[in-house]
Amino acid sequence: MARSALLALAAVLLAGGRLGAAVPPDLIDSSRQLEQFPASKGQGSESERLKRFFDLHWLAKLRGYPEYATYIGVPGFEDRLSDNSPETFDLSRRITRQELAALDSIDRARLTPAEQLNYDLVHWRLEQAIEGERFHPEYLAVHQLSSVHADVVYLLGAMPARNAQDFVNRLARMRAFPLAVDQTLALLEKGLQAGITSPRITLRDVPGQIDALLTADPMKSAFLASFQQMPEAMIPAAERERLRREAVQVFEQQVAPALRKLREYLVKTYIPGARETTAMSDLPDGRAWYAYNVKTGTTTDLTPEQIHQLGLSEVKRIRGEMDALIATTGFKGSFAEFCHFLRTDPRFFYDKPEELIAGYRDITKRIDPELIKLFGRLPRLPYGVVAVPDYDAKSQTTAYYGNGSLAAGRPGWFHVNTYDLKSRPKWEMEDLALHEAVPGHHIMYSLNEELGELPAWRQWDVYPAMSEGWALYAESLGSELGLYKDPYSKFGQLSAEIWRAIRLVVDTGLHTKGWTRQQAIDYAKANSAKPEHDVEVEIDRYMVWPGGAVVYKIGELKIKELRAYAQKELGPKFDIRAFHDHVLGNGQLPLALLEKQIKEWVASEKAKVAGLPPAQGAAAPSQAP
Amino acid sequence: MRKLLLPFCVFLLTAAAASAAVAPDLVEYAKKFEQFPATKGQGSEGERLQKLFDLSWELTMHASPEFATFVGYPGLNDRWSDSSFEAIGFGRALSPKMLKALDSIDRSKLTPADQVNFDLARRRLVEGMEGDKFHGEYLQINQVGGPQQGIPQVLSAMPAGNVKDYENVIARLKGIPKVIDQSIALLEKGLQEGITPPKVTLRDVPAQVGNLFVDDPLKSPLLRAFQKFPASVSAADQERLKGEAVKAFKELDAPAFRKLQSFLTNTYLPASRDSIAMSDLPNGKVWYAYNVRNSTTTSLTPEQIHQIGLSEVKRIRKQMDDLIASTGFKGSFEEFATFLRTDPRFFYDKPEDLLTGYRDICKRIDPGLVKLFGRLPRLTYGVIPVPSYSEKSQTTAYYDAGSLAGGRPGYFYANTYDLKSRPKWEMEALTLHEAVPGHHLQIALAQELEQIPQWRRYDDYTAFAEGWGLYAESLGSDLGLYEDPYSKFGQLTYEVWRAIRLVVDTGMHTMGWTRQQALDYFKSNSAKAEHDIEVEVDRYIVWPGQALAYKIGELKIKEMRAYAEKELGAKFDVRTFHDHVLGNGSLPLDLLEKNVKAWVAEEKAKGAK
Repeated sequence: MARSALLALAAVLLAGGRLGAAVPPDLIDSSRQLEQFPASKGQGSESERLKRFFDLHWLAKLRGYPEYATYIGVPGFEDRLSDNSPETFDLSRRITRQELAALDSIDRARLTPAEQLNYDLVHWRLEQAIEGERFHPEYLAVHQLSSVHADVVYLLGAMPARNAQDFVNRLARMRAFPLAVDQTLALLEKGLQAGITSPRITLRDVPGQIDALLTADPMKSAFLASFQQMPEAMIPAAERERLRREAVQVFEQQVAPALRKLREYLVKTYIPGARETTAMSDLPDGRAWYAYNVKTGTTTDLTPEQIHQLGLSEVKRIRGEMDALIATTGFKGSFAEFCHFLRTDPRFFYDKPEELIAGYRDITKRIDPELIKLFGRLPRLPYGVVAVPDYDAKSQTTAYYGNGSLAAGRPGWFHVNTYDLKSRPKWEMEDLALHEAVPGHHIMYSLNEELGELPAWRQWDVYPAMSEGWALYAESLGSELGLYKDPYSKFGQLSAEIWRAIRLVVDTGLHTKGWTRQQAIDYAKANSAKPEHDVEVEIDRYMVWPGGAVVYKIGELKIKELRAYAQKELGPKFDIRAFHDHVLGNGQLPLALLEKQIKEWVASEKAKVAGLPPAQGAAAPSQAP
Repeated sequence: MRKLLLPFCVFLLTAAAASAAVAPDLVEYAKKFEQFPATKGQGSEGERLQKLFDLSWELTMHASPEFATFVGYPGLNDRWSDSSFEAIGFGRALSPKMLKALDSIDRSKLTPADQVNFDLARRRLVEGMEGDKFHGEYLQINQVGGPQQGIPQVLSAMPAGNVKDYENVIARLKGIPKVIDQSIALLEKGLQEGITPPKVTLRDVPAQVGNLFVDDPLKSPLLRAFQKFPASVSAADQERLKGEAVKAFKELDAPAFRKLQSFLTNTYLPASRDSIAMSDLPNGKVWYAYNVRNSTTTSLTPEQIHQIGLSEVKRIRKQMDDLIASTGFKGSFEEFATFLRTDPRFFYDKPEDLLTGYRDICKRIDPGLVKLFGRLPRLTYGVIPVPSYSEKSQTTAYYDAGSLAGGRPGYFYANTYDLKSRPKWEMEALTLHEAVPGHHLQIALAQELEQIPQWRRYDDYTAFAEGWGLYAESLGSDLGLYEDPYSKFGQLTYEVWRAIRLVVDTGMHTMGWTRQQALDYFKSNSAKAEHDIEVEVDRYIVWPGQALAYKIGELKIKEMRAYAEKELGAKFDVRTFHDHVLGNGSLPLDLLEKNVKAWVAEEKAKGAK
């Protein structure tokens, strides 16, 4: 999965709820300008007005969510954290309405087709946000995968580290940490009162995560990790020393006390008060909330029940392929025995973390040169492979991708979990590399960032159904890239694919059909070779991310359907590089719009073959070769 | 080093001149050049320049279809360039016509950017015409280049995605006998004129040729594309194409290469010269001076270069001695070098482990590049072994450029032959040089530059490209490498090696140094493996002056960086500096200097506002 999925969730949280006192003045300024926007009617063309609106919309987003600015490499917001006070929360809701009014003051009919697409996408986003206001995701501010302590550490690691100012900015953010903790505690308290908390079982590792940050030597805390790697060429030794001393001081006097306060509240108050149920439907208004998550997540009208059924039939289909593959290896025994063999035979495991990482580097560097056979356009941004940081390795998934930014000088990172090497079998490595790194998340996110013709906000806009659907589809490209030569690795792919089908079944099961955690674990284990530790981490993740996990398979099925369609329609003229360029060349889209784009491209290709002028409105990505 | 795709002396515009065929399409182009001056007044001078560039580009593609394959220019993949005497003569006659066409454009009416394009094109033409005095085309074959390497290399760079692609490969397989015959004719002419490579460098060549005609045709490097077809080619087509390829190989190619091998063994080698110096060839002193100017893009004399080499060797040797002292090693430089050359800890046992080691280094470097560059290429690269048919005489590693349009990645080739001569401590420096941020980054970026004319995206000044590659080796610490003192020593070993080249190349070709003298000087100042040193010295012997470009280019880039750092002080941004060095494609060093200085002045003016 992409780390950005978590960040997107954090965005929802941060945009959703604000408590405390310091409403950012620049955000008030954004609100004022948006308020006045409808009166600008007639000043310039409607296209120009749309562009101005996008600029305002973008600035409001960055001002309201400075962490996001850092992730995407926009400078100027690196010395602050989001404000989560009730006042700012109210202001954000007001801004959403002002934006909708501003957008509605633009005459859509006078825009170009590309602008109309951008207009529709932002309109859809705003309506969705308003529809979602009845729910309270902001109260679910802490769980095993996302919380103020882990998020700020991640943020400090993602900030540029090129000169002294970058470290001064880190100090400013560390100083803002106590307020962020206080605002988090206020949200959790409200959640307790409203009966909206994360399931207790998902909170069990959180105090330990905080302990890991509270090291005896502050310089060893992950909070200060970047102060240990300051660029020597750009910062003189004395300055480095001074910054380090100041970091230790801020850590000791401000960060550590806030961490202790957070830990104490969690252990004494929040965790004991958190709910024991796991279903979203057990939360107030939970059924509607889950349906909302599924609808906005998949970008389709599929109901939870339809998704459950689709899952059952996909599990059956893929299970058939797995059984056939087992038969070809000559293994004598049941599916469960084969899985046991895969989970336990020493040949499938590394002994040392650095060997696992070197193994991933080898796989990714084998894939890199092959990409050009499947893509006409590749991103400029490079990526690397690193270990998941120790402080959250235990509750983190096997691997995730963290966005880079060319402008900020930050590469994409494929993070691999080296905790408990007995749960990291070699046969899953090729599949994971394809998904998280290339041609999965890294290619898609980086290309998106580099689509200069999109408005800035769309270069970073993410629809998980498309982004995760793409990454799952990327796993299926292994054979075309020279991987999956080993039958166990091929089994690893099927195992990962069936896993995403299982999600359709268990996510809907857990949140709408009364399934218990154990029931979900049992169903998952019966149909997959995934190691037990992983199975539990995954199921716990679905509990705190209702509906989030169903988007992978839904998105992938759509992309595969479109590839089959294009292949059938274009026959020998089908060019796989052009197909992929067109899927990724228009930025992130809801699935219905992706389908429309591909069908228009196919129609224009067919017209070319027939010697006819291209169909009206056929939207070729303007930078595809 | 970079693998030059066309070892048959083909270089862009001059390339066209040296290998143009008298095919009707080329005769047509010649006419167009002759008529070009008369187009005066038809459009602006800028438009006329663009038209002339388009025309030259088309000509280059048609005259060098192998180069067209390399850049992904479609439609010419079924043929080889013509190296008949007629074609070569035709090409030489074309250069003055091209120059005349260019000179019909009023330079003063061009934009500054086009004036640069104009100057570079003119420089290439004049240089090419000057080079026509010599007879590089007679030196068709040696241990690091020639049809025995160039033919399989071109075939493996060809697209293999559909039936048509495969038919093109077969057409080229059928054309091989003619290419070989033309090569033999040129070699024979060289024998008559006394222009041959030194005998000592040819010792492995007959065996290299022999590697191409194996018993099972499908195992020949020439037929590699037929070992695995893409799914889009039907089973019936696969059978048919495979059959045709095997037939062409058996009936045409194997006999042609056998003929070449027998000519080399029985005629050419025995009669080739015993001396090694270029100055021993007819007009050799002038020829060497020309090569030196061409390769360094400076007016430095061989004697000046020799002196720079001696002083650089001394400077770097001092750093090496200091580093040895810091490791606590007790013993002389020679003993340390022996330790590095022989201790088992520095060597892999299996070729696959060496490749995995290189992939690991590459993937450690990749993410660090964004800290040093604002603009990076889209093209990806991979790591693969040097093909077995040439590994014995090949250098430790080289880079082979890819093409986005052609659907071919860049490849960093690592030599897995004789693992005892591939120490781990050289791997980081070598990767920085050949892959990233060295050749791959520079060459792929140049290919993707949209603001310069197409021919310049592929134009190649050795001093720039290799100077950059060597400079890239010095960026290791910024990229998190060289943490191990032996790897750092590896970097110094590589740097002193390029300084040694200045001494040895000029020594052998103008100062009467023997091969043994060169080997001894090299060995006493470097920890490089002995097999490597021999391969290196033999390479300087057959590529006179080429190896000077590295150190001369690097010194210029370092000088420019020091200049910019000093002038801009705290405003110096290494990402912008690198973007400016690479952002105009490959340039002669004087123009590079001019560009960097103009940028620094601009930055300073900004600061002053």
